[in-house]
Amino acid sequence: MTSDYIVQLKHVSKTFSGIKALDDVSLDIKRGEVHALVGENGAGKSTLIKVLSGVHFPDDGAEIYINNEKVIIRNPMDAIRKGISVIYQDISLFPNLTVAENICIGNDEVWKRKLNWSQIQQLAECAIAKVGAAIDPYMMLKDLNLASQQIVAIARAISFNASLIIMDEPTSTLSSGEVENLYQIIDNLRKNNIAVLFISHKFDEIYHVATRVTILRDGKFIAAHDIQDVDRPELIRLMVGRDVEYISMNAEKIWDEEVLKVNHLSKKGNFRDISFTLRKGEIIGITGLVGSGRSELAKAIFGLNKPDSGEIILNGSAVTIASSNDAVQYGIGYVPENRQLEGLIGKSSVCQNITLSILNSLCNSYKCVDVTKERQLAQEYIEKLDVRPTELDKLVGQLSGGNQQKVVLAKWLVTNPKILIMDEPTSGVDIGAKIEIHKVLRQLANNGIGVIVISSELPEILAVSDKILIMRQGSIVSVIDKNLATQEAILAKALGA
Amino acid sequence: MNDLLKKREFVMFMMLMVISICISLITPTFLTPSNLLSIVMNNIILAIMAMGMTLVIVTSGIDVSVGSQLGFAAIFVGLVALIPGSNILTVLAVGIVSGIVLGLLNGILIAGAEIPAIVVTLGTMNIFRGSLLLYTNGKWVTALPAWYTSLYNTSVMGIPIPIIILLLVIGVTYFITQHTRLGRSIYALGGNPAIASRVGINTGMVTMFVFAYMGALTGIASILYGAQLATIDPNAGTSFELMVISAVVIGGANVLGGSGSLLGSLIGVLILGVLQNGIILMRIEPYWQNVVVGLTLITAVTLDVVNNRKKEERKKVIYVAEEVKAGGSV
Repeated sequence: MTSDYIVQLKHVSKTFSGIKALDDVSLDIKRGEVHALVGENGAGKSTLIKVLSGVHFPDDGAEIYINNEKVIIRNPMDAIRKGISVIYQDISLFPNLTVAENICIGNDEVWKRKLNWSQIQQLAECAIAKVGAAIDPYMMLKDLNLASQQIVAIARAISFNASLIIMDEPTSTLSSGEVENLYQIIDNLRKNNIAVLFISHKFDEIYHVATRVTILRDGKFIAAHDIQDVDRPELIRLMVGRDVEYISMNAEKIWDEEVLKVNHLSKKGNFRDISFTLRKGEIIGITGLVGSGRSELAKAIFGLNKPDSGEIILNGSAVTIASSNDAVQYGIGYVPENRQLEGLIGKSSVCQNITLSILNSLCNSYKCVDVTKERQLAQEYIEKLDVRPTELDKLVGQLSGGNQQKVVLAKWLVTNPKILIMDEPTSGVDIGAKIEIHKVLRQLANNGIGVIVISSELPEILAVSDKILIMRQGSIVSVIDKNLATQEAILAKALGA
Repeated sequence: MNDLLKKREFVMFMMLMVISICISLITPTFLTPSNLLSIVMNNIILAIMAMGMTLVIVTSGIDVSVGSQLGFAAIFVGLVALIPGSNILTVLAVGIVSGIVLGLLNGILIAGAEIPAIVVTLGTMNIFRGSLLLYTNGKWVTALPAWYTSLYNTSVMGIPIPIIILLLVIGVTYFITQHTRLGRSIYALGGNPAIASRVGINTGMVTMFVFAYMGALTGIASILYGAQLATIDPNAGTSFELMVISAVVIGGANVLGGSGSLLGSLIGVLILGVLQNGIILMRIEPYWQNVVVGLTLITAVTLDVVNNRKKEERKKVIYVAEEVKAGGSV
């Protein structure tokens, strides 16, 4: 019976600087089946794909079998030669080469020292025909739309005699007509005994194309089932239910005063008809899948993403926020998801980072920065937020993730914001630091700041928010009071299941 | 026809034509066969080196040491030509080998030590020039033998030797880029460096090759340099790298890598050559030359950027239209 399996993974773990991204995961894929891989953001799907495709090397003890033979996948080309190809969301091919070149590059059969163009064209045309598409092999890849580029990537996989094609959220960039076409292609592959590992967040798709499903959660294998044996609520139940317990903190007081009101805010391709109110002392949690429009919404409120229509009302009057400078003037603070890139300067000191945005107000009569005043202010905030070590001159890059995030917070707090927006405030920090950041957020709210927290981590959203907005495909699909919400209910809404 | 109009090379060719027509309206000597031939003959070295620089820039590299390399190889070639008993073949070997050695040195540092190309070649530019001046003590190489200096003006079957050499260089480079795995790897590396090694390209070898090939072509150019001028200054080729890079960029190569064509670079060379010739014929103060080269460069690249932005926008509009048609949601 074991000969049924084309690829088997056993005991696969992967550790990145001490953090286990994968923990003893197994995955069995049968010949010619469409296998769905599901899990929340950060469950380890991407890492697993990268191990399977030779981008990451797994920790010791991992076993990988292809055709029941134990193998070691050394690098991406090795994986491709062993019959495992990946179709990435962003295609990951060469935009400046032709379709034929993209299909044949690295293929020992035709990609020889001296190239024979008729041979290359023939192989490319043959592979495109096998997919059942019609694309001119002489076109430049960059001149094709994404759907056609995806077909080229699939044709490339076929020409390498792939027995397993991994598709990473293949429909996220396709229109509905193109999705139908992709289903057709997948069906075609299945008939040719090529297995597909299908990574998707969309339940409709999973139930439409997959025959089996493997569920990951927090880097661990949870279950594998035939798709007809699990219904949607069961699948959601398997995806959520983390072991971590956060301390849920309730608001001491929420004022009646509305610090922010958003009315029918829309931006084409980002979000649609968004309305909500944030009151003084309240924490609103916004959740949804990556790509549901939550970060784009946050950027719009902060003036980094101009909305097409709708209004933003601050303290009762409608305002236009045309730039981040405007936003700061209006008392809005925003901490983006990637603090390394957008929030902090790693090679500057803690003190310099904290005071960077308010240097003007720290100037003395000679228009020079009053260093004593600067240091006093920074000192006050690192004590208030408990940044460790409490050294003003430490370089920010040398702090732990949790402490870096506190410096980011300090940087905004010195501007005396009335509204603070945080995108994934605890990504990449350990559990202890997460709880501390949650406490700080609650403390800020209790002091009268309105806080918006965007997070993919459902337990975090449940622990910190007073009110939860769930976004899907650019719209707010549900507003739930924290006391009535469960992880299952939130995920079901976010997925549209 | 529509495709032809969109081609970068065609746009640059039209620019060349417009410039030529303007100059010929002002000065009738421009459009004489002898003047046109002299434009070509005066820019053979630039053209040869531009072929190599195109490959370097396609990989998203840059080589600012080629001016120093040219001087270095030219002096060596000259010194060897002075030795009794040397002939065309020894000179050719010395020129090419010294060029390859200098280019390979760049390539090894860039690929092996993973230092950015601009840093490495900025360093070697100074090192090459400095050691050359130390070695020669600043003295010129003069009194070159006639068999060597006549090289530039000799014709074989009615075609001047420098033009034959240029045609050979173009032919070989074209063959490499269009018909070899190595050539396509050069474009692949520039197009998507993160993915290149994932498809089995030895990116280090490709990088070393383009810099060594750049050196080899500089070596060939250095032979013609000495033959053309009959004396060789150890400061020969100073800031010539900027002309080479300008010609390639005017010809449409993207300094971010991935695109660039031999034909485009040749047109770039001709544009620079024609402008230079025009300035002399029209008796404009020669100091204008630098200003004109700079303006041409910026105009060409601006045209490119604007064109690309238009293209992107058009693509976006089409995409949105398709979405709407398909009843897509967001």
